[in-house]
Amino acid sequence: MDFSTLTLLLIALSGLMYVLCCNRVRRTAQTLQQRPKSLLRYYGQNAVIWTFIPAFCFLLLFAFFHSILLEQYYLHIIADVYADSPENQHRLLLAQMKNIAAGILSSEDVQLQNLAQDFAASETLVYRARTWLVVLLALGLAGFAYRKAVPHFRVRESVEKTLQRSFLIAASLAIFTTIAIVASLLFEAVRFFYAYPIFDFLTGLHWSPNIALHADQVGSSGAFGMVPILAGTLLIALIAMSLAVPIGLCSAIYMSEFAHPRFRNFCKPTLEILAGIPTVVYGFFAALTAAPFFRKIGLSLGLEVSSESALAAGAVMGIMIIPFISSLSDDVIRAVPRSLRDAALGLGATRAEMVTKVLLPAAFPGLVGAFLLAVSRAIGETMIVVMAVGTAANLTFNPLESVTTVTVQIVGLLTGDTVFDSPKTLSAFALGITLFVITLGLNIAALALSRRIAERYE
Amino acid sequence: MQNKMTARNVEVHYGDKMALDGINLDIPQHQILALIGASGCGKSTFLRCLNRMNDEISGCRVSGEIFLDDENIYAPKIDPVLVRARIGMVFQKPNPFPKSIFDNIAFGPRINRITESEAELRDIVHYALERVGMMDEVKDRLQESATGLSGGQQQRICIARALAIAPEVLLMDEPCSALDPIATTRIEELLEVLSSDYTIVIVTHSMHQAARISQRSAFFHLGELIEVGATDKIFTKPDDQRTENYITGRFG
Repeated sequence: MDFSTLTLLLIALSGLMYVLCCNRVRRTAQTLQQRPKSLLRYYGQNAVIWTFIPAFCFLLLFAFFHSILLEQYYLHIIADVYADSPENQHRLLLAQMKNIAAGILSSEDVQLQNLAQDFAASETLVYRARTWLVVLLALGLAGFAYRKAVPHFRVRESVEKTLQRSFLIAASLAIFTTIAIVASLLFEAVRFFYAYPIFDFLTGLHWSPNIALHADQVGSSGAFGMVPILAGTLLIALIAMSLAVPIGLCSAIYMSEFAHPRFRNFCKPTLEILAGIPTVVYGFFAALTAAPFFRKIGLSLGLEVSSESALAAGAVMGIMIIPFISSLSDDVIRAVPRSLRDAALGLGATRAEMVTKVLLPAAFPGLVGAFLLAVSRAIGETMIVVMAVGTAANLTFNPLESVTTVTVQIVGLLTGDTVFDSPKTLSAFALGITLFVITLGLNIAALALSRRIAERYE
Repeated sequence: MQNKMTARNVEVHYGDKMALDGINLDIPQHQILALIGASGCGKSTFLRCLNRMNDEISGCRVSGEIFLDDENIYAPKIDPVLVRARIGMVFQKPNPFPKSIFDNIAFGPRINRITESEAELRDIVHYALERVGMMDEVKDRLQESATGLSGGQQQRICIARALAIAPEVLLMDEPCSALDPIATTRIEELLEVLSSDYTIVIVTHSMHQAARISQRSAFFHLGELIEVGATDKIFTKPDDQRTENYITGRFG
């Protein structure tokens, strides 16, 4: 029986057990003249939990791990049988053997054919064993739940505990995924730092990741100093923020304090549309419209502007995060209680005085938090810069020149044909973890600040 | 007795809903007037008409005339901001700004440009604190945040903040409803002292409070002013049956 049939079988059995257990409790309660301790449906739910969950978990675990374990076992056998062939051949042989077993490939090698037959047989056996185990587990636990379905059993507590635990598992799943992602990044980054010292990586002023493949190749030194690309990232984020913060903040103030409700109802959704535009589209806009535009203006002013200038990418990125800042700032400003506004107005303050002297100071920590979140967005933003920014790592703070960013480099290093053991590829993971640490720090700071404002007006 | 404020045919609408219907009320100088009535009867709305705070609520329309001395504060040429600078207001919940005690009280004088000199500003703050009897309590921590004070202290800071703009009228919207009995007593004593210099209008849900501190009481019911008169009379021999019902707790 395959996976979906077994699952359907489990569902059917669970449904049956639900009805059976409910009926059993009702009958016994009647004969014993005893009120059940919990509502009838809880007895049914308990039966479903016992019948379905353990058997299904087993099924899932089996699906994830059986092939790995089986292959590992046969890898050992192959290593024994082909002891004289080099070690990197073993995996190839394993793949051949599996293909023979599946009937896709034929081979002259008798040893391998025998192994393949063996493999096919044990695979069938394992599958049969799985089916029996699942059925037996489900039936056994269903019987256990059925026996427990008696009126004096307080079943609600145990059902609710199970529910609680499943919420816990759901919550921790997200955390474990995060940890797993960080761990995989870290693992590869550490491999990079074996090949290239971490100190040089963090403080080096020269970035040219191309490594000579042949000894006689020229011009490919392979330097991995991340300072120029970090500087480029920060420069672009700075340009984006210096555009987005004033516009976003002012629009938030206008919307929350001055705008007529009808205007606000029109304007807020419009801003949210801006937030919904895919970043690829912003990328087009930056590369095809904004960059030539800035270049033309620069030329008319007699300035040399690169066609991949940091200014164009930063400005478009700024436009992208305006709605983000305006919406977050709007929330923060609205969180300042009405009573503070009343107090200021009641003392003869004008609206503008109320905003500048009371509202903004009171909202300040939350606003800074919002800005930090926006910075971490800008630093992590990929698509706009990939399309609008160059790949040459210039160490410059001139916004008219071309710079490169961390995300652009990661994309460049990992697309196309790559070998996962050269420092060139591995450096992408080192960059990734650096990016992760920076944005994590910014997010933590933002969270701490917005929590401070929440505490003040609890 | 001279009237400090006079309301003539004041009507208030929130959208389509009428909140106040033709209120005519005289507010004599240097007295405490208590506005009483059940929740939603319009007494707070009326209070907010007196310093044009209802202008800040969208969908709220006020018609009629309210005179401060001889000037109609709803006349078209009147700037509501200047009206509010002459009338202090204290709210239901203590609402000090998240600033220092000094900056809280100095807020009004600063924005109204009452004085340019720091020394005068300090005198104003000290005077306001003296008036609410808090100088001794806070004289060593004027630079600490006002939000760290107790509820009763915060409310007295708010009163001091209102006094610092030298208002002619003091409006109070249930100033004691968030305070404990001891803090309430202190505020009531304070109001009695202040009433010799200021005209005070107080909204209260506590009948006892109205009886204790006010010279005149006005009873509101469903957006109408039912009866107004000397507090003694309202609480002992009210003219209207509805007032009597409310006073004796038969409804509301």
